Amino acid sequence: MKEFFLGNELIALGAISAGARAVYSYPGTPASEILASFMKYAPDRYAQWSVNEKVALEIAAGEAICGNFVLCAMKQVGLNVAADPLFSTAYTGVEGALVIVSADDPGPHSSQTEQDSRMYAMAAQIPVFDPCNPVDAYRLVRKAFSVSHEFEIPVLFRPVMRVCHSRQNFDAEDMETADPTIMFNRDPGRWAATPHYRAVLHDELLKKLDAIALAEYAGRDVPGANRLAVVTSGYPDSIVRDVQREIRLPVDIIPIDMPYPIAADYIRRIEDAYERVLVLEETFPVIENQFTDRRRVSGKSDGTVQSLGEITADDVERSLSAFVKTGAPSRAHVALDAPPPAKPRLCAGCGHRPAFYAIRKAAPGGIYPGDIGCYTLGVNLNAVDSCLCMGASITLAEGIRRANPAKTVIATIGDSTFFHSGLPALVNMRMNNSDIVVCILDNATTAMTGFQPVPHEVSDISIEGLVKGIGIQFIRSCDPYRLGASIELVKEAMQFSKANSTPSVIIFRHPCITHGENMVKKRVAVLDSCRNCAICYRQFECPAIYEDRAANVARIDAAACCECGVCIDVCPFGSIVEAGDND
Amino acid sequence: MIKGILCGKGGHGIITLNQIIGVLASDLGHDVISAETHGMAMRGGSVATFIKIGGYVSPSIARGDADFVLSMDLDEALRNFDYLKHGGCCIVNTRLPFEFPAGFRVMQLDAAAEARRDFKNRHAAGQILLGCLFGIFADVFPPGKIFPALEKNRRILRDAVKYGIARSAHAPS
Repeated sequence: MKEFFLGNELIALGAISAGARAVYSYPGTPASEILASFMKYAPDRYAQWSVNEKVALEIAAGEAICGNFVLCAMKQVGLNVAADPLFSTAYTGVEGALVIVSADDPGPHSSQTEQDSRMYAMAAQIPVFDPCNPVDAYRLVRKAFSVSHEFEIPVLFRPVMRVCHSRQNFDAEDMETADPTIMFNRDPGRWAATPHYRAVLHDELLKKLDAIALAEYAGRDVPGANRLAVVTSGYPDSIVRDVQREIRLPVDIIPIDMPYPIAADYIRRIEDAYERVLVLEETFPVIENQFTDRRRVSGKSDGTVQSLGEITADDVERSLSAFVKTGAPSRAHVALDAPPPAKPRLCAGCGHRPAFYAIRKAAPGGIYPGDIGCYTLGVNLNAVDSCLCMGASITLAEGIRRANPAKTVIATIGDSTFFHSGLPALVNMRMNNSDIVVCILDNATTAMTGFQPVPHEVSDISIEGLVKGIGIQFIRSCDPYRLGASIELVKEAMQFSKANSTPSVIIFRHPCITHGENMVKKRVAVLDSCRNCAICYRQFECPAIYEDRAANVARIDAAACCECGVCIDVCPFGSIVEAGDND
Repeated sequence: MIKGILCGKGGHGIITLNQIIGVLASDLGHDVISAETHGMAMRGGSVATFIKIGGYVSPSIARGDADFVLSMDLDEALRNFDYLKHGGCCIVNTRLPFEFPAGFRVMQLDAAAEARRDFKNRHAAGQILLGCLFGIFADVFPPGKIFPALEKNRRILRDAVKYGIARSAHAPS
């Protein structure tokens, strides 16, 4: 019986069926569902949400050098964090199998960059597979494990968001239960190689790459039925095949599912067989740049294919018709004027909203470095001035403070991000005694990506304990629903930091409203005295309050309101009150 | 066979509707592929899913190539209208009717109000629209086959779907 699987579910199922016995991950869109799916389909195997991607990959490598089959999953910017072990494990290799999923986000839809993880595979000199849809991802992740095991090399697996978050119906096969021998075999020349031995390992790595390229491509035929060829990879490959099904173009389609390493001989055979070649891949010209006779190759270099953004069916049709020199298929369609897309906002009742509001109120002229998570949306409250990468609110704050000695700097960082990479940044700030207020927004979960667990939820680690341990003296927590107290606390922290030339830490603690039930329940009403000053729905930007233009007042959207009651304190005119039973 | 877009805003249940259609199509023996939007877009932003039934290998749809646009919200219907092919079908939940261009089959209904009135359940709105879709594309979703197939999904409000199918009898052809 076929089921309607998410791409990430098929990646997990493929890994399970290939014998993966453990998975390590840090949540990040679009990779987040891989670990949960692994747990769902193989509850008897091991799954760990690690504190960050570098940690996840190193533990995964630790298991794999002992002979285990291990999956490690992250989003593409997570691979930046894990780049150090990635490059080094390429040299040492593994004993069992290690497949690293780095999910790319062309667009980008929910990332800081639209980097192409395949470039990492080239830079680290490891093979990479690029699936075109969920079912293909199942097939290729199994292949990735087999290459990793056979050649004792970590393998990168790079699905794009449209593969991870697509669904396709599929009949998953029974799981294989590989039972590898697991033990650590001491081999200092390999696992603890000094630079001298590293050169030896590099030589072995290059030989592995040649062998892998040969094994994959030596036996592949080049069709040669047409004078033109379209070389495809990943998600665009599936679009090309759907387009070709409806508009038969005189081209051969040559799918490349392993964009690196490609055997030089295979590239040469394609060049020899065709007058011209179009390379359609997402996002960087990884395959295109491996062609040697660029005069006959179209793609990103000559502008036939776009160099940024997500490739859509429209884009593929445009590129194909430019290449074949036919007109693009003309389809009558009508575009209508629509208001700008609804922008994402913090949820009604979110504890982050009053925390940001309190920061703005306490330090109206401040600079507010922010971080990565739901709370990046504090930008809507003008309380997030920067968002660089995980943990960078604290480090950027230190730099910005140094460059702006007259300014107050208040950094905000979520609890999961704090553990991920905020901790070393805070150590650095404390070491240099920068007088900054760091607000840790603790909602007790990783909310943005689907409520993955955080260290202080699943263990007895405490944020206060950690912060205290590095010698920070001002550590206070507050429920941001208590708006007045929150504003006073930020002011107090600012004064302390300034007077003592040292960082202070506030922990704004309120559980995620979407994850759990709101325990407060304060039903509110807007009085007739409302003068429509717009503070509640514009500055506080609560999605449950809207402007009634006809009546020139603010109104509560009862369906959206979750009854946190914070707006009572936000209204400077006392026009929002707790509702009685008759309201 | 058919290609379409489901759209609305975060919290409208678009991803759930998309899964209901996908599972149903698969159970009816069709190959189906669809694309969802997760992450930042889920915090109240615009949400659209693409679904293609009948042996396609990618979920991407070109402009002017969709057989239907089903929207929980008028603004999102307007935004995605350019995906609709000439003669395609637009099913939209809206309080106030909009003057859509000629050449398309447009079905506008206040499904949210009808859901509250007849089913005392605001989640029924999406399933009324779903019923409209099944009624209009009855060749893909034969009424005699869909209800036995929907049986296993406890989130389905059969009466709301039936109501939508009956409602679609008045759809312009």
